[in-house]
Amino acid sequence: MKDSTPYISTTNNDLSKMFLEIGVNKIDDLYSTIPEKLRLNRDLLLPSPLKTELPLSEIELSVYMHEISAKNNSDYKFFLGAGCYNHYIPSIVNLFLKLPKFYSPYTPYKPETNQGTLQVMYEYQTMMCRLTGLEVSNASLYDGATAMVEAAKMASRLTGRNEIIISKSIHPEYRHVFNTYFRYGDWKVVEIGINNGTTNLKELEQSISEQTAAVIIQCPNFFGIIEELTEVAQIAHKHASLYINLVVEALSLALIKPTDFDADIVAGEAQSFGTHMSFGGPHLGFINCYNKHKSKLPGRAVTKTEDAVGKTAYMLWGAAREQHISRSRATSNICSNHALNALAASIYLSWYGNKGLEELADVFNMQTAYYAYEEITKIPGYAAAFTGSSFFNEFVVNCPHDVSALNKKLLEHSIVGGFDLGRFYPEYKNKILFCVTEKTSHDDIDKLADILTYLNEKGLR
Amino acid sequence: MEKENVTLIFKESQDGRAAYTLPKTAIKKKDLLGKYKRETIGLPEVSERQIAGHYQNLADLNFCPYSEMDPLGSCTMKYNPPLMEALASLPGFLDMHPYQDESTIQGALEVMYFLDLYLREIAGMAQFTLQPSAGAHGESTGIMIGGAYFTHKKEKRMKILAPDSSHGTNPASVTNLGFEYEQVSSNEQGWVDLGDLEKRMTEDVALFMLTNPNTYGLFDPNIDTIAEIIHRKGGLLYYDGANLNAIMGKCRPGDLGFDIVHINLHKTFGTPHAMGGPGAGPTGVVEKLKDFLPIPTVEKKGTKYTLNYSIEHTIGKVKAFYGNYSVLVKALAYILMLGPEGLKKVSETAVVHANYMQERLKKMGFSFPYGSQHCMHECVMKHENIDTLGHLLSEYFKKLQATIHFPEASCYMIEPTETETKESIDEYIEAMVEADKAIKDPTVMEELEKRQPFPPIRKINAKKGMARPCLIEKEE
Repeated sequence: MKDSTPYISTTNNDLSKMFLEIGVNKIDDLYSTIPEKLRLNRDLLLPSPLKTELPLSEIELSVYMHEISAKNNSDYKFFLGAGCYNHYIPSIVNLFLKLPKFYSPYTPYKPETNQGTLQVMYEYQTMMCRLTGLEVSNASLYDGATAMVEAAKMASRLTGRNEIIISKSIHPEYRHVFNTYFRYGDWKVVEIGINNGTTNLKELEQSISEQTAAVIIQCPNFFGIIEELTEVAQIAHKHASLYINLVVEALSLALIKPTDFDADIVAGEAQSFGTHMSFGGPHLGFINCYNKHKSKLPGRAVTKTEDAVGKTAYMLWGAAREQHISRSRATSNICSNHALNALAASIYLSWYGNKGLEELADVFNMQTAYYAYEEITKIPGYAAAFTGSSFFNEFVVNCPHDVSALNKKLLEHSIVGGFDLGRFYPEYKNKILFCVTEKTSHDDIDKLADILTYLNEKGLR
Repeated sequence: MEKENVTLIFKESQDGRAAYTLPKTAIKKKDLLGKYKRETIGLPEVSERQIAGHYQNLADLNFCPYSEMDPLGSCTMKYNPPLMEALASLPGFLDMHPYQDESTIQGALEVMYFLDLYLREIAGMAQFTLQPSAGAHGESTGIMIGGAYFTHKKEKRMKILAPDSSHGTNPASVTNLGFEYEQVSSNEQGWVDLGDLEKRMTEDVALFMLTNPNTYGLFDPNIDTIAEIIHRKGGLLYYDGANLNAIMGKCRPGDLGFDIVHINLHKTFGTPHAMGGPGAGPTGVVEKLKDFLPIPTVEKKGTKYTLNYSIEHTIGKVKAFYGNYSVLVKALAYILMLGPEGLKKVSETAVVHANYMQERLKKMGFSFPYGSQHCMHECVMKHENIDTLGHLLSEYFKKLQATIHFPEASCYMIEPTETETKESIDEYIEAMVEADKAIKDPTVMEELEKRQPFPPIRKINAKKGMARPCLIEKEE
């Protein structure tokens, strides 16, 4: 009979030997410092989701997990983006994420035993900076929303100012997270309105002041539109404020380089680079900045150095910014980050290379989205909601139906429809945000257009 | 000698090489970008064969906890079962969009529902949010909940206390949210100095943040007095769950008097540390704080699971969407696999292993300043040459170094965890004895240094890395 529990090797025989060495008779002798009245003198009550009581065997657990994952019906055509993108992930990315030598080790505090991790991060930082045009990248943050929070705090430390301007065209959940954090402490957060799908620059000019630490604009914005970046930077810099370019669809970086438009800090979400949607997390937050700003950068970063015999080696840089050294004076409290997602991004970006990533972004996302846009806006009732601006792989159209009713109908055809903008913007009720990626074929788009046309004739019933 | 262990991927690049394939397309390429069009990015141009080689070689430079015990104190580097990796990779979990219709995500919500339910019981809390991505993120969330609670009660409490031995994240979380941090002393036994706590616990203190067992690996037996001191002045007691691995099924933070708890799933519930993350830091609260949790939470209505966005005094959201979902799947699978008895066994075994380590090393003459009492899941040794000891262990004995200089200078904090074998613990102890001999005896050291180190990387030139940082590779 086996007397060990799954994942524990210690047998009863081992236990008695160890008890002898320690000089105790039973396990509870070791717990004597817990006051008697505070101990849990019963078993934990963990009701099983199945008829079988816990623990489950590997077979039972496997069957159960397969069953509930199948309830999620993931086999859809997605026209839904809105901050989480259904991109294809090359097999080689998935392979390396499953390597124990990558998924099991700890944070590389000790460089001698973690050179693999450290070089991965150094290469990742380099790739991100080449995409954004900046000089320094951290080695990952939790997600785009928390990266936006951290970037704003960084800007405040750099400028000594406490006012942050954010555009209403930023992802509503990001703004929600932002406003949650900035309720604590002495902050002023100003939201700028939208004009025809882009940030109202007039309003920005009127709102900015010598107290403004940073202006944060998302590009492509929540509606998929490429904002007027040059003008934003000019307005910000006139007041010696920093311009933070927030990027939520990182694939757009293959076509648009934020430093071409004078961004000071680029923060955002790089889930598009090799990380699954996985119901919204874990994804990949990032911040890039200039060298002159790096002392206030939150999160880990890796530097190249040498070992004792002059061979190239890597180590963590700038621990003085971090919580384990500086405690209450740290630039952030971040400790665990999303290193494995950064690994995925590095492999993903190496797999596509320059030409591949550009073709993927240009032809299979942007131009395919334009094709979808043309096909859908031909259908009566589906006029473009905003006009005159370029968009990347998402666009907004009016919807002649209640959006959620339409989406329920599309689901019957195994299509996950676009995002119902009315959910976050009451003024945009009956507007729908469609997303197209390389996983959307022309046939898929034609099929969607056919169904929308058909539903116009037949109604939603 | 090669200058690099593994050539940088950028240097492997050659024009004309590529790994990607893309479908044929009927699209006639147009210039949609105009002024936005950028110059070439500067990514490596490599074949898939090269990518495979490159990342395999990098992986091989990492010491993997699969092959060696990684006794990092306070980090709980337990074995990460491959079963959980496989289950979390099911397409039904990975290819799911957070804004899909609720009828199509019932399985996803079931996972979250049960995980919340189990964590409540394990921690003795009324409800959890699964949103925080890490322990420190859970701390931020807990502090914001505490802050919102006092604002709601119209009490101005801007101070937060934590012991001097607390994790660095505690004070960093406090000040990064605009609260004032104040340190509470520990006494000679490594416990909270009750006199100092009593003195500092005033009516402008919102929270006292504490790990128990603490970072000395000791269970603070005065916990009920501590809770009484905090609660008497109307404050809240916060549990940093970094050390929960010692007490599952033995006692519960809620029963000890804690009001807010974060749990590191990547420590106690066996999800991987993944070179630094992603982890997850679900945060639980007692009944009176439930109405302040972030939105949404998962609820069951009849047979249907649903996302609840109507929480009366919610602090808002701490991350986009719902949490590090794949990590949550792994943690749930771990709990289902172990059950109540198994979880208790996990904690008990972890505690036996750490005490065995402590007692044997004590007998070998090593110093344990707090070793007159039994430790919990980790023990703290003191050694005057701790840096050298750590280097020798990894370079010549292929033993991963434990946490050094924490919670105090010259400390070596060892957490063997429950998943190690007695044999591997014995081996570690023997390596430690050998390394210590080398430190004390130059002739032994000389012999040792003739050996080939693992891996072939000697001591890192940290001075150079710090003085002249080079954070990205310049384009050639």
